[in-house]
Amino acid sequence: MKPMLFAIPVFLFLIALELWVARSRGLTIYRLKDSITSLNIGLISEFTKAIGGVISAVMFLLISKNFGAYEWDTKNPLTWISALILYDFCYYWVHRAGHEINIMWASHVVHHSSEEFNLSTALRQSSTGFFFRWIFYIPMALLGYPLQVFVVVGLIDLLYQYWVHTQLIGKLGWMEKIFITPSNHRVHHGQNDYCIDKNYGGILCIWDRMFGTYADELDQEKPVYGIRRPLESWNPLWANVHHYVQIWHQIKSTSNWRHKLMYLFAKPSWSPDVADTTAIFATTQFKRFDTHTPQGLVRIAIVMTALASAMLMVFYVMQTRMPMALNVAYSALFVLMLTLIGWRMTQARETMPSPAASTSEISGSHA
Amino acid sequence: MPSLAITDAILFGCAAYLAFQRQIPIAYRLGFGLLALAALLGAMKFSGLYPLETWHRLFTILGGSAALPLLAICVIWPQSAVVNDRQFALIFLGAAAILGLAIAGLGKLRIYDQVVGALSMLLILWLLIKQGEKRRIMGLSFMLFGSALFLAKVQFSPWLVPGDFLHLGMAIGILLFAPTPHRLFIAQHAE
Repeated sequence: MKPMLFAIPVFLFLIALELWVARSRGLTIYRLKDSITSLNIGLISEFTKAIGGVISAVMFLLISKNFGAYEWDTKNPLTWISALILYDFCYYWVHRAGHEINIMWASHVVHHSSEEFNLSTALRQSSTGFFFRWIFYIPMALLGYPLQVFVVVGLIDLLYQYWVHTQLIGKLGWMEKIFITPSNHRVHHGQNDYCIDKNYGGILCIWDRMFGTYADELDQEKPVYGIRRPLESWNPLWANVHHYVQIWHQIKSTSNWRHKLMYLFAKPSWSPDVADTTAIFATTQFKRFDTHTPQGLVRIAIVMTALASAMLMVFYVMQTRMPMALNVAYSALFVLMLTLIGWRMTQARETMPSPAASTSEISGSHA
Repeated sequence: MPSLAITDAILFGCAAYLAFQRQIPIAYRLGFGLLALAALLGAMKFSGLYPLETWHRLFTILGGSAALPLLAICVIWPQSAVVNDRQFALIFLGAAAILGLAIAGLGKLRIYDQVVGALSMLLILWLLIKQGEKRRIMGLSFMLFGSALFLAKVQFSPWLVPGDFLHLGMAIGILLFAPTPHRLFIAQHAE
């Protein structure tokens, strides 16, 4: 947890820097309400990671202790390098499953729900991923890697992925062949046909090349960011649960058990009537979600987000000293505060015609 | 070389051969593949070639708690997505393996994988008897007989220990149980 205490100010500084550079180049890559939502989602996810991280660590330790085959010397650089490569390989599969299995997409969809692509999007992380993510790292526990190695390489993998969420850096020559870069990660966040289910790697894109999921960014068709079933909300809580709710409704809508299971475990695009609903996306018809939110409310949202960032820093420091009940109460207050502001900002959408209606497949009944 | 290493190597050979048969459904191949992995680790352990004690124990658990239930699904619902689609076969195998790992591996309830494995084989046998598939019934009988001799710790001769009966019974059993291209053709056209 402590590294994030230092990482968050750096993240915020880099966001400010990216905004400044973009403005100096005459580019608009940030929208305030979208960025506030991204930050709020990221802040909430840090609270749930406090619990999820414990689950992952405990499972890793238990499996490693009972079935770990080797002992690793943490002073040997090869231990760290091999662990990082293996972690990235496991990450590829976590990430791929997060896109190709509907119930796991329900968690990961949060990260893709922004219709912008900038450094704040990188912070838009899921609060529910900890349920299953640890399963994919069992091979590392079976190999007996120490927990500290697992945690550190996990952090490196996560931090690496921050800088690739930018539109300001173009293609990077030979690096595109080996590493995940801003260019090939833009493809991953695109909803154009050529972008769907591509570039899952964390640090290395060699896994994508090995398993046939790599795609280069096309100069003639820039990615359109976001998801095919738009979130249409600034509410961070809804962003985290909206796809679960959708799956629940889909499951309830059918009495066929095969269909119920398919809604859970098939690709997110699966439907009983059409084999694949992802095909054909009209990039020119896409319009971003927006609302007429009063400036005063936006200012309050900015203050709340800043306050929440400070509250999170306090939480990092105080977490171990506070009783569990207080931890939970503090987290609940935090989530409630950010949810309320997000919900209030979304309310204003009623005053605007729904701009995303052309690509929407679900109604925005949550707003 | 101990007999257990030889019989585990035989089981590995049979299971790996079946796992690489492209014409049989993916769930069969994954099930046989997992059994092959457990047998390979056993052969390495008993021969002293490269003993990975903990992994052999784990993969033996997974064989009973995940591979055999997956093979049972292959017989119960041969046309299902779990049997014919890699994604669903892997999800089933993964979920069953996590349960096995948690209950029998970490919870030390070894009876779990033994009961799940035995019930899966009995279920397969019952369905095959209903379908009247003699060759496969014989295969399941070998698997069950080998398992029973192992659990009863029977020793017929000084050269074969109870574990050998399990390995040999499984090896002969899966060869007879695996669907042949001819049978798959009939199954597809019976739809």
